[in-house]
Amino acid sequence: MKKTLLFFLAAMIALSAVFAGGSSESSAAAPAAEKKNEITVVYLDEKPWHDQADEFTAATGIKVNYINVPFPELRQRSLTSFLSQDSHFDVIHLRSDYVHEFASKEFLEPLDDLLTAEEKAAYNKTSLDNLSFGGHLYGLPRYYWLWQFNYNTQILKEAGVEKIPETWDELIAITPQIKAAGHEVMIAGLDDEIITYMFYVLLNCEGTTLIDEKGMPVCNNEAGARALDTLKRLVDSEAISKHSFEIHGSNPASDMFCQGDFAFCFASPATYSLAMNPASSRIVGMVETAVVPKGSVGSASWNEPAGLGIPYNAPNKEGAIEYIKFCTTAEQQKKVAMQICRVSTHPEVNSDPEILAKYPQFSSINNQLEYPSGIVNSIHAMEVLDTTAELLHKHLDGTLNTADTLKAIEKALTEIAQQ
Amino acid sequence: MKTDIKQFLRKDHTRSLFLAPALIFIALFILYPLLSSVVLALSDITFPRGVLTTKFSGFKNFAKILKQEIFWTCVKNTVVFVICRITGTFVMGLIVAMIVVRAKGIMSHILKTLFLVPWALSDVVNGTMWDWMYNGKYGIINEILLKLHLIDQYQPWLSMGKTALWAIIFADVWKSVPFVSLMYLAALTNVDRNLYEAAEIDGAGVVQRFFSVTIPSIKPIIVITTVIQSMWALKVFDLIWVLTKGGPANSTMTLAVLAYRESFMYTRIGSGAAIAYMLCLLTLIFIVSTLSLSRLGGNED
Amino acid sequence: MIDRKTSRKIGSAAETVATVLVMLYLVFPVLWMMLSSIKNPVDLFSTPPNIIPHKIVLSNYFAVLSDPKFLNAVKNSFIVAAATTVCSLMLGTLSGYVFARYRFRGKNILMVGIMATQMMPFVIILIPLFIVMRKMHMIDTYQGMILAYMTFSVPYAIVMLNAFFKSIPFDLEEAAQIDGCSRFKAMTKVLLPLSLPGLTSTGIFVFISAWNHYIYATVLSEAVTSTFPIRMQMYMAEERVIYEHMYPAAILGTLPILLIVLIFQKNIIEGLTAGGVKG
Repeated sequence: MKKTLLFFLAAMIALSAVFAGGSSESSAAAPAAEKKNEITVVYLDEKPWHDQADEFTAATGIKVNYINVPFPELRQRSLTSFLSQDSHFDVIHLRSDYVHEFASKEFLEPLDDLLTAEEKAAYNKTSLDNLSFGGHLYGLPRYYWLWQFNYNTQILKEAGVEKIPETWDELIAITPQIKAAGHEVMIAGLDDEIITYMFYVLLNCEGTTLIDEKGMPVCNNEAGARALDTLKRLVDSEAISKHSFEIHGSNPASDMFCQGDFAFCFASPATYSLAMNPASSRIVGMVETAVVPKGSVGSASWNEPAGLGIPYNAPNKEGAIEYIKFCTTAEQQKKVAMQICRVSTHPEVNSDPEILAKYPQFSSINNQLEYPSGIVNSIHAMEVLDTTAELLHKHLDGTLNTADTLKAIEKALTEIAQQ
Repeated sequence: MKTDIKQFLRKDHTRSLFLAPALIFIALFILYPLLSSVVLALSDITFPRGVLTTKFSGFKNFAKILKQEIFWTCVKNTVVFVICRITGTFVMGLIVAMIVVRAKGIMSHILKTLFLVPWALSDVVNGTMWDWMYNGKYGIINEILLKLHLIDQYQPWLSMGKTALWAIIFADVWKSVPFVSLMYLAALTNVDRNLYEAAEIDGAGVVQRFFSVTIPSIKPIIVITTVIQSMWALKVFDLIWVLTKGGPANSTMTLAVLAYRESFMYTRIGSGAAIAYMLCLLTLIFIVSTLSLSRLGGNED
Repeated sequence: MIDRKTSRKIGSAAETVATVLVMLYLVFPVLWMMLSSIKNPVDLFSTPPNIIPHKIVLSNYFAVLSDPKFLNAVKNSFIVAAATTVCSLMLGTLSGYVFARYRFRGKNILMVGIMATQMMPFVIILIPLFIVMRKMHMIDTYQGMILAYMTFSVPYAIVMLNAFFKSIPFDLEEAAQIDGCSRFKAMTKVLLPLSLPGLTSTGIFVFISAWNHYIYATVLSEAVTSTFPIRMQMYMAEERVIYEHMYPAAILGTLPILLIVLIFQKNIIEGLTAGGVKG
């Protein structure tokens, strides 16, 4: 009996040591005054961003606690933090659709009062609009994730194609030629909800878009019908390879393009650099970039503007805004672009001679950016993408015709917007 | 007073003292979060000024999801998934266990290490690996099936509604076989040799001995393993998310994946919590059915 | 009618074939991953898939091994998994003993309740658990992660050890108690040695589950306690999946587990076949 008591006491002491150990770490939590010299940044584990953080500390003396998260977890990590009223992040990654989602729930700190008009003028206006919601600015832009249209010169030569297709119709027209030469035509990662991205691009090529600022659908019209029709023709004629629908994860379309089986690739900006690396590509020296094929109105592309923002309950907002301002200047964006081939939100960076020397594919970027390029911005972005994708697939396998599909999309998106 | 305390100390309190640490732990770290999630499931959730605020709304969340078609699709997929996984692990687990039991010498040592290998991989790695193996252009599974003349051209297994769920079940069964085989291995080695000898003397062939001696002897283990496997099968999330995210066309969307999607993708936390509790209900149904079916076979617990 | 000798020969040939097939079934995906880990990324995507790589690339293994973040992740996984195993076995033994050796009102309900805690999918307790951990200031600490991992290990341990203890007859402990041992002493000196296989197999499964667990690690670990599955997920970078690091890392990170299985496998399986656990 005594032994049992002793054992129990020992267990209780051990357990309390566990608890005490945990709490002593931040019962020494410094009072707010000391926090001024520290900020917590949450982003990916990649060298350019770490370098930026180090440069910032060297320039301002503010220490950066850099928390690495895996790319698939970026949004979830911020969301979990918001949902549990956690308040130890100062700077978080924002994509323009996250801005809509988070700002509508008042998770983000508006930056209007933290920036002077001069500072705001240093940024391209469209890039600022991308990170705004309800008339307030919530983030400063860091880069664009712009899809580019790449082509394999070798395959086109073999197939006897002399002119790069400038419209989607032309692309469909040369499909039989390319297939006859034993190759596949276009690869784009269109699995799951990403098929909606393609539809969105086609809608923009026809002069309309998927939803307006209030989230209400605006695609049930003639332009929408044309876009949907183009999508179906692209898939039916196998201009869009059926393999586009079965690849998951970060951007495997580029990996597949680099094997040399596809004539065209519609994917991220790093595709070109990937294709020029012998360790990952069989088509070194055979790749060029062009403007995305046009619809009846013009070209368009998919673009995910990314930036940095501040949670509403961040402990050190002054430090945070300094960090954000520092990392989004043209100079910093150029450094990042040079290191990892990232499209900048400052047009002058994209046409900088140094950049063009290292990354020739940048020559068409500013051109592409003159056309509409964006992402589905909605408070319920994820749901909009998923629901539209479901209906698009129904159209693509023939279950629903064009008119019915557009009506179904309209109905579903209206429901979502009115939720 | 003093004698009361003395009397108290003399009694054997082993039982309560032993149980206390675990129960305290469970109460603090399991029950309390569970109760919080019950609150979430029964509330309307809004975010005034960024703060998560709950307002009691009874069973409204439950009523809403029960009306959605996708919920019933998920229930169907979940049930198919669980039943197939239970059957698959039962068959493969038994086969593997029997082979390991009968192996001798060095082969025995090799097998006893090998059969735990599938369990050793994390779900994320597992998912990525199977994703590439199933790939419709570069997948090794396609190549093997083609060489064996079982298919005439490469198929995108994970992108076709008909095959996606089966592909995932196959990968999941592969991962779960070690646990089940271990249980059956333990059970098989404890079967009384005399029963086999008696049956052989009676003229029973190999197959007959299997069904009349082996299976009934290990029945209790089969039941408990099935119960545990069904609990775990209902929770499977990582594998499905990495491979198909519930697509194509919601053909691989199970309740666990739907709960995640509602909570974290669509930020409808009340809905997600409600779905999770429906999942618990389904688990209870499975456990109860398994236990009563086993009793039907005339078995004492 | 085939005579006994031939039918036995056919039987044993069939058994050999079955054994080989089963081995392939268990190991093939991992073999394929090992092959993939020594290829250049461009060779990963060849049509048709090639078994022998064009060029064997071992430099990726060195790249992963010399990455301090990877080593740190493996170290953290080890610490968390080992501690979770020890704590879960301790709590599981104590509680399992009570369930196996005592009768009391509400025992069955309590056991069902403990089993029921295993029914919740992780995502749903994620946010409340995170809040609890945050209030106790245990985010990004080993203690926090161990406690979180114990939430799914302890109930499992209690259920399994209860079953193992029940299968050992009480007679030996009774004898020890009559000789003057306390309950506790009887448990440690008599029951535990006999149930070593049960303890080992439960311990191994808890260890493996804790090693590979991902969801709680995403929110409860940040810089200091980042574990192996998180590091694996980091290889799925924004631009491309870094296959050339991911597969070697997967192999390297699974080796510790295989080693532990190898060391303890004698304990699990041969102990189970020994006489001690006969019903």
